[in-house]
Amino acid sequence: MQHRRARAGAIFIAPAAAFFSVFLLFPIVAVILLAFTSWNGFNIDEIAWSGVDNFRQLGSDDVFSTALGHTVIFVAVSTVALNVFGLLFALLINTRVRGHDFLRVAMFLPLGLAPVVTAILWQQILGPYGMVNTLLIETFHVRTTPIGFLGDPDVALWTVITAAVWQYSGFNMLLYYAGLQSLPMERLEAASIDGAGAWARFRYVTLPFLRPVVAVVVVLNLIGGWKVFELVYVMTSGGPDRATEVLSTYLYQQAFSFNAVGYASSIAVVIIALATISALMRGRLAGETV
Amino acid sequence: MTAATPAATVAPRATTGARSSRPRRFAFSCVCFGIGAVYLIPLAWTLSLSVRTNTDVFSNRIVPHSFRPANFSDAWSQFGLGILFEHSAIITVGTVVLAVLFSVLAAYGFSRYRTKMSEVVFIAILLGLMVPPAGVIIPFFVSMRQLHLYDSLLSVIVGETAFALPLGILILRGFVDSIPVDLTDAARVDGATDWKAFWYVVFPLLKAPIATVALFTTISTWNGFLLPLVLLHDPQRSTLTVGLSRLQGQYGALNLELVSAAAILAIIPILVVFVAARRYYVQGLSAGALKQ
Repeated sequence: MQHRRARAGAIFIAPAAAFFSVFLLFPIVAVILLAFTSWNGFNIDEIAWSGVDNFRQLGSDDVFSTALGHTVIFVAVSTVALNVFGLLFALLINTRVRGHDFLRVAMFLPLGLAPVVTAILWQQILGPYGMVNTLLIETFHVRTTPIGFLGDPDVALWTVITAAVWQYSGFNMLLYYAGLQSLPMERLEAASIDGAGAWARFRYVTLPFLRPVVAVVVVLNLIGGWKVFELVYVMTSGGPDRATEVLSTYLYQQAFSFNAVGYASSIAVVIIALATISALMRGRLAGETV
Repeated sequence: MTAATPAATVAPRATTGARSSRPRRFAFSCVCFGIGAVYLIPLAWTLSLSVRTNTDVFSNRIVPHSFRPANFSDAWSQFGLGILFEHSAIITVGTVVLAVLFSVLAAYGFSRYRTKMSEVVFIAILLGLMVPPAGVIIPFFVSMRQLHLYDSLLSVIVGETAFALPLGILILRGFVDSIPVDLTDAARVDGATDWKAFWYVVFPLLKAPIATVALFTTISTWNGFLLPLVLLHDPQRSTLTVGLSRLQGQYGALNLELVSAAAILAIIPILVVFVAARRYYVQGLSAGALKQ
């Protein structure tokens, strides 16, 4: 009986498990192995073990450390901004004042767009002929030359971060809003009878209650952040002068422009490691003592 | 069973709402409309560009002084959007069918035929949720080339399916777990096979979560970029996203109005689906993220 049941179960699971193993698990193992080889990506027979050479090279590669730095800035700043905006606007929408539905829909729409489209929309807002520069120069006459939102190395990364926050803050808002719906009203009321103001109620009742949600959302933001590719690829292709280079765009260039497949694989291992570490942080963020 | 959106069912009034003074509610209202408008600016601006004449686009005006809907037909024919739409549609439909099929079966298997081994496989598949596409794109590309699937829509379909499975299985398993075992046991007592118990008893109850999984898969696949970029050879005969990125690079500086029109055309189908099915999206978020 046990055996028969296990076999019946295996039949249901098999297609997904096979697909998963071949197209996700195997590539992960393969990329880790490739990271210890030197290979131009063409002939499989020419793959040669190179030990930790690739990782040693990463250590002395200035472009890699620049890309890593930009990725960390992107992930850190966008995660903070997404959660501040997400929670703030969820609280605002939760007041159910007139217009809350409008804000909800306006924040929701970008979630359905391709990051490629987001990149194009923001290029058209912030480009030299974009809306913002037109406003600054033609309408308000506060500048005579356009601001290089995408062309100025000091500004470009912040432009990419802005576009990412615009696209995904609705995601955080929806999750926080859902969390707020099960807020214990009696505790809030008890707090206000005890004389707690709005801030104290938020700080000592709402926020601790939401902590598990915050943990999940932050981890999802971190994992999503390490994935950033097309926003940068389309908006700036990593430029100007590597000012927006991130790990995934550098990997893409090494693998598909320079045919340095072994070296690119070592960058992939770094990306996978960062995502794994982020996922493991959830329990700690939630304050679980397991 | 069909958990409606939290917003629809939960009655308790918001914390600040009931008590707030009228001036404060008015101020909150203004903030809602103001921020909402800011969120809509990028879409509105591109929409306004898409109906201008070329000279109007570069005239440094905020408000359009021209109206040229022919941009849409021009963009369609000049940029060969037809083939891009077709490819995006084939890949999306193929991926949704495979992902839904495989994740429904697997979710049922994981839920009803639980063994130590199956739980290990379940956890392993869930770990797929955090795999960044860039991390595995190299072996993926190499395998597809070795299998002679490079430059085929099928290669993109199997790749997108692999990335869609973990979330699909997670969402669906939660729902299958909530269906009483008595239901399927009763069917078995009546002589139904495993397969029949699944198909006639459980499957019909899964319509809402299946819609959720289909919606998530549709969005991620229609909007997907890295897989078609790497796996399809010619960007002019790739998917909409890859095609748009090429157009933006090539014509973004000269024919902004046509690129804008192309972008608007590309997002209309997905936004229609997204807005029409938003209920399922919100359900999926709660089921997928908050119950972990």
